[in-house]
Amino acid sequence: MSPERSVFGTLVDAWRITEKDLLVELRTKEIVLTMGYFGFLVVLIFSFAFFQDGATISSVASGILWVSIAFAGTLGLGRIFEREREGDCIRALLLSPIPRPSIYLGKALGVLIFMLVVEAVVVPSVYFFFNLDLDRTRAGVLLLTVLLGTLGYAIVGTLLAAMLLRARTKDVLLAVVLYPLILPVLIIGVKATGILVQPEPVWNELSLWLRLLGLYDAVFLVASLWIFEPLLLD
Amino acid sequence: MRFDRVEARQVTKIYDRHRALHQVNLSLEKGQVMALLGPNGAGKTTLLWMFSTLSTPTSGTMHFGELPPDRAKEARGQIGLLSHSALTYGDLSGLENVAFFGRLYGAADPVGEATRLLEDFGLKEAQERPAKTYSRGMLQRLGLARALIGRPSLVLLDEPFTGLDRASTRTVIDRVHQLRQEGAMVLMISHDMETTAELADATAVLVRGKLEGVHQGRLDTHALRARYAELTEGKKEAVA
Amino acid sequence: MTTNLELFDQKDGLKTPPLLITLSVVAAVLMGVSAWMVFFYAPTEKVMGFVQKIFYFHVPCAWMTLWSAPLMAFGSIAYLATKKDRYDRLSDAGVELAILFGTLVMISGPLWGRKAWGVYWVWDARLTSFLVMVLTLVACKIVRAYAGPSAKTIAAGLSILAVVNALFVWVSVDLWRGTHPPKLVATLQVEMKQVFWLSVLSFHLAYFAMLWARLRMGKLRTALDRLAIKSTEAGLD
Repeated sequence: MSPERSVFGTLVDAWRITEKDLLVELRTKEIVLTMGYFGFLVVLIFSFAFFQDGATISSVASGILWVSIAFAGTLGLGRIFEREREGDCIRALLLSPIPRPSIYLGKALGVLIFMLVVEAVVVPSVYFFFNLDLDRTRAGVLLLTVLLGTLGYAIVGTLLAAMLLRARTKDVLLAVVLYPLILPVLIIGVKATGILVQPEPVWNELSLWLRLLGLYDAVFLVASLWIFEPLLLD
Repeated sequence: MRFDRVEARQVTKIYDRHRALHQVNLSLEKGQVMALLGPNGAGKTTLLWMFSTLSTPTSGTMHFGELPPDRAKEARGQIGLLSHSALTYGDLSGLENVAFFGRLYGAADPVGEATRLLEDFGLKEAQERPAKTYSRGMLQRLGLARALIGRPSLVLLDEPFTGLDRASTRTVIDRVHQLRQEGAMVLMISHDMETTAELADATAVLVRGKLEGVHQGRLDTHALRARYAELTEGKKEAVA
Repeated sequence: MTTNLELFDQKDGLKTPPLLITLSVVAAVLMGVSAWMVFFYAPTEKVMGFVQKIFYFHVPCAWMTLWSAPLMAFGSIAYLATKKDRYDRLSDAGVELAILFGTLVMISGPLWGRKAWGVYWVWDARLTSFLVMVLTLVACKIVRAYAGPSAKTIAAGLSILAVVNALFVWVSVDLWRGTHPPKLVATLQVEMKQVFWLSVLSFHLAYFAMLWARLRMGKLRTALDRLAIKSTEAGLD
């Protein structure tokens, strides 16, 4: 089989890998449960830390939201790739005739889905502990922001976790390497969410941030697809 | 695209301050079973990985059929690898594992082909159980089923008989005979002289990254031991 | 792929090249001269006062960091494509120089910023992108030290991402707001310009001397590795 299979074929193979990850996760529920619970704990601790005069300061909510997502995400990224390393399955994947981008896209989609499930816990907890009050439009835009940010996180995180798969001290290294690279996602995420939680959001500025976030996702998706192939040879 | 010859030409592999392979020349033809022998740390597994395309030589070239060396990775769908670990997912059942890889190899009927392979390897009863509940011998057979789902032209076996009971060993031996008849090439690392003598059409001995000798043709257990002792004698770290 | 394991000529390959020594000496002398001129020749600027003198170091350091970015990007891309050690050495040298000069930029920048903007740090486009790049490159060096067998490949991938990320941050934060001083060079007094360009020249010479020395060091290390392999094989371990 030639490596120049169609884009559609690449996506089908990618989905097979995601499907396999989802099946394993449905059986064990390990990653989503630990990530979700950890994310909830982080929100709880921060809300306690910023508790003043009988209420939690809601202006820090946007920062807390993204820090919780970033922390919980690191936990999940390490685990989802640990599964490929146990039993050395990554070698079997690399040896199969599917294109390398399929492996990357399949894993990234899995990471994205797991993180979105976890955010279904984290976002409402922030909403609750920090007493946010959003109308329907703003809540919708918040979800879009979270989706775009998580996408960028998954795109970069998957690449780095795959890179460090065979590193000796990968858990520590992943955090060290990941945070500088996703700093733009966090900065933009925090800024955009900060605008949204205000009673009168500045829509112009917000749309600029969201477009930047989309640009980040696109730029790093292309860069990651390009870098992934040569990275996994020894 | 099947191929009927593989060759390593002047292959050297260097890791930092360690030369794992030194100018190795080795080739396999269609329908040939070759045993790769050598003391621990001789570079056998490194050489096997060169043949799997997952590792690339520091210098020298790998040739898979008519493919030019710089396109060697295109051969990977035609290579089946059984490594030390089973290369399977513990939380999936035996059948799910093999069928998953069958799909990646583009099998027309992944579940059917996987079922047949698992039956061949005596795993029919256990096929619905998660692979993490399998014994060492069962995992080894599952790994072999996984390696063969893509109908490879080249089968690489890294100590396939370790941890197997007599019956399982028999199954694997029979399968290797069958692969030879089907025209596949088999490169096998082994420490076990009896099974090697029974299977190998050719024997290569690797010591400290250098190919000390290649014997074309079959040898009985006695002759094999003698030849191996002769080639590794006086070499440092030569503990068979 | 090369089969030649000898990196140096037998005769004089290991001696430090005379040109490298000359370049280093000239760079060191010029650095001293330009530092003297910054403090005793260039006039003190009216608005910023004495702090303005940081400018003569800050701007060349930033330029040197910018030189390193394409250098390491090229080395890394070439290494990923060919897996030849020499590109890895180029990439590593670029990463180290970028960390060195990038750190100097971020030390000198806030000193200026405190006087100009009243605070040490602002999330300005250039400062942020330098910070992000240096942080990623430090991570890159950490990976090189601890990641094991595939460290070179990972380091190459990371330094490419570092450059992409820095470009992204630059564009994005620039859209957001820019407090960084605009292009100042054109508005300088004549003496200031002279000192500035002398400083730029001496930084360039120092940069290329360091780059050369670093590449030579990498080459020597590779040669030493090969020698270690040979001695092991000869039973000398």
